[in-house]
Amino acid sequence: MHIHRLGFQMPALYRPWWPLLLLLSACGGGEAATPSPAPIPPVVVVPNQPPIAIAGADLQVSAAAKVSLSGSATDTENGVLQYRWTQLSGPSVSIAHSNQAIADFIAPTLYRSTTFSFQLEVTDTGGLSARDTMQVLIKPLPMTAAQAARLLQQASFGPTAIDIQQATGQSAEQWVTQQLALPITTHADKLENAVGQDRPAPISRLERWWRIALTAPDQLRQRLAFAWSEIMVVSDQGNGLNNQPVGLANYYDLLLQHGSGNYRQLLEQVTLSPVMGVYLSHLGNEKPDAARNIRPDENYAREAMQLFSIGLVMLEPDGTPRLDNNSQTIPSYDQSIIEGFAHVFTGWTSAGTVRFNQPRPDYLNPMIAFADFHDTGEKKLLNNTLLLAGQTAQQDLTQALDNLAGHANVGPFISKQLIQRLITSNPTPAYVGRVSAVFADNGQGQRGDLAAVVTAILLDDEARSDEAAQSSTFGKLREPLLKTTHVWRLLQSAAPSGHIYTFNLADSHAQAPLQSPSVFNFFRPDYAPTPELQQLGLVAPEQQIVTDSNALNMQNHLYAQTFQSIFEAINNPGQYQMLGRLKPYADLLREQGLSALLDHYALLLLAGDMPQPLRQMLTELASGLSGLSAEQQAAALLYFIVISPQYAVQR
Amino acid sequence: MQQQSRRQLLKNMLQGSLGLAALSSLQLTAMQKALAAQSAPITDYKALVCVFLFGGNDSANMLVPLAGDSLADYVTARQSLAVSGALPISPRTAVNDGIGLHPALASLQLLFNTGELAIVSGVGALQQPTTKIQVQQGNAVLPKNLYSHNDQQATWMRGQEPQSFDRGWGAQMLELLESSPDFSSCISLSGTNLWQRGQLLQPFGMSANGVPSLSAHSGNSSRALLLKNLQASLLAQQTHPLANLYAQSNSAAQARSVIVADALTQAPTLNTQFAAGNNLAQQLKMVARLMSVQSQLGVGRQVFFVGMGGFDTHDDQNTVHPALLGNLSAALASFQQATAELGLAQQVTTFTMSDFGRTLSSNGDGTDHGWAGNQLVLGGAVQGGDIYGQLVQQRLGSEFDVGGGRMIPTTANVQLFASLAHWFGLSESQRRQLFPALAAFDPALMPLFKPT
Repeated sequence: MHIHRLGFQMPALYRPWWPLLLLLSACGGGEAATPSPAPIPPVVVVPNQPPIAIAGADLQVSAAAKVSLSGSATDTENGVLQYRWTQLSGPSVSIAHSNQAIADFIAPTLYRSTTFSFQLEVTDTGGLSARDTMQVLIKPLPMTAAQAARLLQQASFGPTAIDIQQATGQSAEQWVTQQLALPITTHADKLENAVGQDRPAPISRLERWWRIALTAPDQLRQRLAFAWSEIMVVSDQGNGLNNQPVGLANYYDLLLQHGSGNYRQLLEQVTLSPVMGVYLSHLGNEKPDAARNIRPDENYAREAMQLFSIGLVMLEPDGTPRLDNNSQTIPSYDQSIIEGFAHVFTGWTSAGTVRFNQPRPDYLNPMIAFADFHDTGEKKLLNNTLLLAGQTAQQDLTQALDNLAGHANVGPFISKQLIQRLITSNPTPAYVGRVSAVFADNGQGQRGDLAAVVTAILLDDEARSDEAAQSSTFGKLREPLLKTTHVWRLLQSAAPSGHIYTFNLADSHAQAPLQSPSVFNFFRPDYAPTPELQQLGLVAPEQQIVTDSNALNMQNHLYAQTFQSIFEAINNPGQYQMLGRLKPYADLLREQGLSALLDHYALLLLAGDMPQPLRQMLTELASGLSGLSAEQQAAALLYFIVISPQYAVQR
Repeated sequence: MQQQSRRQLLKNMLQGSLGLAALSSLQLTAMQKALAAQSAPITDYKALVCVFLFGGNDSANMLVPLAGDSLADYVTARQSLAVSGALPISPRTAVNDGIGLHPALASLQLLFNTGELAIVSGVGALQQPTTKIQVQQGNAVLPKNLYSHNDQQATWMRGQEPQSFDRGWGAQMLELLESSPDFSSCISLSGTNLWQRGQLLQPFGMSANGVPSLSAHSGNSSRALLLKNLQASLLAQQTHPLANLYAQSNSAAQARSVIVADALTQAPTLNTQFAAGNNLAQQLKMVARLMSVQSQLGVGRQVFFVGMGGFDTHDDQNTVHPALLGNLSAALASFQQATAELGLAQQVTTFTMSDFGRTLSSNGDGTDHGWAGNQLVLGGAVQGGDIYGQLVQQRLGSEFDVGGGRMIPTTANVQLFASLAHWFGLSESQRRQLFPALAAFDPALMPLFKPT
C-alpha cells in the first residue's frame, strides 16, 4: 500500500489554512478566497479533516479472473464519501463499479506476468480527498494440454506425450523461463567417431544434431540455434569445410551459446569464427596492395549486411519497408559502405597462424588479427559514420560491429526472421513491432537481449492466443527436418547400431543442418510461389525447397520411418535403420479403441485440433486396415496424419 | 490405350499446377488476355534450355585476350587471376589482339569452331543504355539491388524489374504461345525457380536421378489402394492458404510424376556419354531423355532449367573456377552431342545465365560481385562461331568500369532474351510484353540464329 493523503502533499506554506478556505467557500460564505495570511479566528469552525483512502492489499490473480478491488476509507467527520478507482499502469482494463469502494474488473488474457496498478481516490463531502494505490500482479493461465502442445511445436523439435504432460499446468511463461535456464547441450565436444574411423566424419556431426534434437532437455535453445543456423548461414557444401565436422559443430555451439545471449556478441562471434571466415572468405582477407593491384574481399561485408543484420532496404520498426516520397524502397547501404566494411574485415586469419599467408588450420578458435595486413585508412560505415584512420584491426572491428548492430534495421529484420522460423511465416507488422521494441530495449535499457527477444516472440498474443491461431494467415509450413525429428521423438526411434546415420538428407529432405547450397539458406523469407499467395500478400518460405520430386521423397521418407520401420514387426533390420516403437500407440488402440488413439494423435501432432473430415478419413483407413496388427494400424494412421495438409502447417 | 487415355485425363486436369477453382476472376481475366494474344497452334518442336551458373560466373575470364594492349590491360587488371594458355578462337567478327577461350573450355572451342556455339559479350541487367558518367552522377536508371545474388538472379529470371506478381520469362513464353501449356513443357532439374513460374505454370521439379513414385501406393495390395484413394481426399482443396499450397503441390507432384515416369519408360538409351561425377552433365542427360519422349508427352514447346553452383569465387578462384568451367564445358558438349543423336540439334537451344559478372580486379585470390559478363548460346540453329555484342575490354578504369572492374553492360540481357524468344516463336509484341525494357534499346534483333 502506498498511502498519500492529499492534504499532506500540499506545499507546507499553505497547509494550515487551505482546507478552511475551501470549507468557507463550500458554506456559501461568499468571500473571495484570497491567499492572504490573515490570522484566523480560533474557535469559530473545526476544520474538516481529509479522509483516509485504503486501496487494499496488493493482489496476485490469474489471467481472465474476475478481480475485486476492495477499497475502503475512514473519515473523521463520518460524512458520505465518494470513491473513484482508476488504473495507473498496465494494459488497459475496464473497471466496473469504479465509483464504489469495491470495484472489479476482468483480468485480461495475457501470457506474461504483468503488474497493473490502481488508484483509489476518496473525496469527502467537504471536497477533501485522499488517494491510495495498490498493485495487481496478473499471472498467465496454466496451459491446457493442447496449448502446451502448440507451444512445444513452436519451441521444440516436436511435442511428445511426456513433454506435453510436463508442460501442462504450467504457464507458457514458466516453461520458457525454465527452458532458457537449462544448461546448453553442446555439439562439438561430443561428436562420436565415425564407424571404422578414429575421428568424427561429417555424418557424425549430423548424428549429434539428431541425437540432441531427439533427446536433449534444452529444446528451446536447440530449436533457436537451428533457426539461427538458417539466418547466419554457414555450410559444408561445395567448399573447404566439407571435412570439418568438428569446426562446423563448434560453429553451431556458438549459435547455441550466443543465440539467446546478446546480438552484438553473437555478431562478433560469428564474424570471428574461422568457419565463417572460410565460408565467406574473410579469413586471410588483406588490405589493398597497390603493387599487386588488389583490394579487400567484399564477401563477408556484403552478406553480413544483407543477411545477418540489416537487409537491403530501410525498415520501419514493424518490419515493413520504409518508402520515400515516390513510394520507393530506400537502400540501406551502397557499394561504398560495402567497401568500408570490407576494409574493416582485413588482417584476420586463423588462430595460431605465424605467417599471414600460411594460415594454420584451426576451425575452432576465434580468428586473430595481423596488423601488417589490416587496412588502417578511414572507412565509411552506416549512418554516415566514418572510422578514423590509424586504428588497430580489433578497434575497427569493435566499432564497425557496434555500428552494424546499432542500426535501426536490426531489430525488425532479425525479429521478423526469428518469428518466421519459430511461429508464423506471415506475422502482422504489429507483432514484429512488439518484438523489435524488445530487441531495442529489453526493459532494462539493454539492446539486443536475445533471450528477451525469443521470450517476447513466444509469449506474444499472436503466438499464444487460440483465436490468433485460427486466423487463416497464421502458421508456417513445417520444415522437412522438423517433421522427421517429431516422428522420431514420438516413436523413440533408434537403429540397432545405436548410431543415427542419415545418408542423403539432400534427397529425402531437401535440407540438412549446415548444408545449405549457399549463404542464402535453403529458402528465402519472402518466397511466394503462387498467384494465390501473391494476391493474399502471403509468403511460404519453406515451400521453396518443395519440387515435385522432393514432395514425393518426403512422403516416402515418412512412410519409411513409420509403416516400414516398426520396431515390433521387423526381424532383420539394417544396422542403421531407425526403428520406431509403435507399442504405446498400439496398446492404446487395443485397450481403448480407435477414438482414444485418434485423440492422442490429435494432441501430439495437431495440438488437439483434428478436423472432422480428417478424423473421418482416418477412421475409414483404420477400418480398411483392420486385418493388420495394431502396431501396423497405428503406424499407418500416423503416416497418414504426418502427410496431411493439417499437419503440414504448424499453427 | 487405356494408359494413354488416363494420361490424357490427368493432363487435362493438370494444366499448370493449380486447379481452375483456385483462380480468382482477376487471374482468369489475365489468362484470357494472354490467350487472346496467342499465335497459331504449335505444330513443330522446339526446346530452350537454361543453364544457370549460380553465384555469378567470372565469365569475363572465359574470353582471354591473346596479345598487345588488350593482353597487357588484362594482366594488369587480373593480376594472379589472369589466365594463360588460352585456346585461340577466330570469331567471324575480327577481334583486335586476338581472343581465346579459357583453357578449361576445350570442348567449347570445338563447338565454337563448328559454328554451334555463339558468345554474347558485355551482357547484363540494364533498364536503359547507361554511361559511366550517369552512374557516377547518380542519375542512371539502374536495376534494383545490383550486385546482390538473389536479386540479380531474379532479375535475369524475370526479364524485368520486380513486380508485385513475380513471374519468369521462361514459363510466360509458353503461356503466350499456347492457350494452356502442359505442365511437362516446363521442367526443372535444379529446383524451384522464378524463370519457370508463369501465370499458372509451376515447373515440374525433378532430379537427374529420375522421378520417384509413392512407396505407400506401390503394389496392388488393398492397403495401397486404400491409401491411394484416401490420399486423394486428404489432398483436396484446403481453406488455409499454406495448407492449400501443400495439398496442391503434393497432389500435383503425385499426378505429374506418374505421367513423366510413364513417358520416361519409353526413352531410348542414349549412346552419348555424360560424365558420371559431373552433376550438370547428369542433369542435361535427363533433359535429353525427357526431350526424347516429347512426342509421348505431347508438347510442342519446352523450357528446361538446369543449374550448377559454386561460381561465387571470392577466394581460391584459380583452383575453383577452372574446375567449374571444365564441368560446364564437358556437360554442354555431351548435351549438344545428345541432341544431335536424337535428331533434335536444330530444335534445341541451350544458353547460360548467371547472377552477374565479377570484378575484373582481384581481392588477392578471388573476385567480387560485378555486373556485365559473357553468356553462351549453343545449338544447331545458332549462328555460332561469333562473338555478339561488344567484347568486354578487360581494362580497369575504362569508360565502362564503374569501380574495381564492375563493367557496365553494353548489351542488355533482355536483348539476348528477345533473340531467344524470337527463335522460340514469340512475336515482337509478345517479346515487348515480356521484356518491357526492350523499348529503351536498339529494336534490331541480335542475329544469334541462322536465317530460316
